[in-house]
Amino acid sequence: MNKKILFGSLCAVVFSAHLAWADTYQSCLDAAQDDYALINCTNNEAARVLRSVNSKLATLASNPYFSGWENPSLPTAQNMKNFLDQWVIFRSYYCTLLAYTQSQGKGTISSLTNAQCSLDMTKRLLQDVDAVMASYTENNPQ
Amino acid sequence: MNKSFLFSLALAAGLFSVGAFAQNQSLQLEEGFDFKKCQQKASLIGDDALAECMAKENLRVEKLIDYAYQSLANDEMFNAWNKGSGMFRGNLKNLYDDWRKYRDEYCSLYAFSMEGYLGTSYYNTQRCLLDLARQHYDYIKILQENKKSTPD
Repeated sequence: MNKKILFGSLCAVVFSAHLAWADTYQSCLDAAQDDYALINCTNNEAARVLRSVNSKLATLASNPYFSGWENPSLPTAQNMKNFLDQWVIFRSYYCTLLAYTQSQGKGTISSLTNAQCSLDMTKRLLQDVDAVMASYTENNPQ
Repeated sequence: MNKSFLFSLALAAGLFSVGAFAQNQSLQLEEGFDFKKCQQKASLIGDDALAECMAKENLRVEKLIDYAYQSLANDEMFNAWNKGSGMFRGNLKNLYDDWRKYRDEYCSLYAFSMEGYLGTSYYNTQRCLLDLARQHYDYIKILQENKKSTPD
């Protein structure tokens, strides 16, 4: 099968799955009885979005075009993993600091803020990775 | 109004207001650099000239980010989070360094995906660096605003 068709199909599948799972997050929020449950829902959603990011980076890594990116002596998948790992550390620092500004680590507001921040930043990263995928697809038409 | 709701609004505004950032920014670079004027002149020359404008604007925004971090580092409230490591050291410095590494790698990836298509590599890299610098400055401003709204 043409590699570009496969690449585009993988993108479509991941996007569709993302829409279905967004409903699950809302259902979780609606059913949450307290702050701890809300935090759990939000952390789970952030983890899900991160898996989606990871999946898209793996898709990029599987494309021979990206073997020339970053450190060519490493497998592309390792370069993508290093990139994501670095970002996760950055997200953790920022979100814990943001949560700290809310209540200096006291009470559930801090954890809730941290969770929401993690989710929002992960969604933004997903958009950024989508931008890379879109630019590659546009630049390399069939 | 609920703090979490306020935070979400502020973060969303920060995430999506990058395009409006330059127009709203009242501070000027010490050397009198005017990004808009630079872009107007450079648009008559080409992509690399535009990229030079973005590189200079990026320097200006990075200085703002530096000042914002130093302001946080000097704030007593953040000492405990920063592990009391003094001025621009400890967790704040780690946060800043980690952001820069992420930004450099992401922009390298983005420019790589655009190679041979729209704009030169230099142009695409500088545009990405500037976008993410503006975004990060908004993130840091949210911290400062959150701190002001935190009750004693």
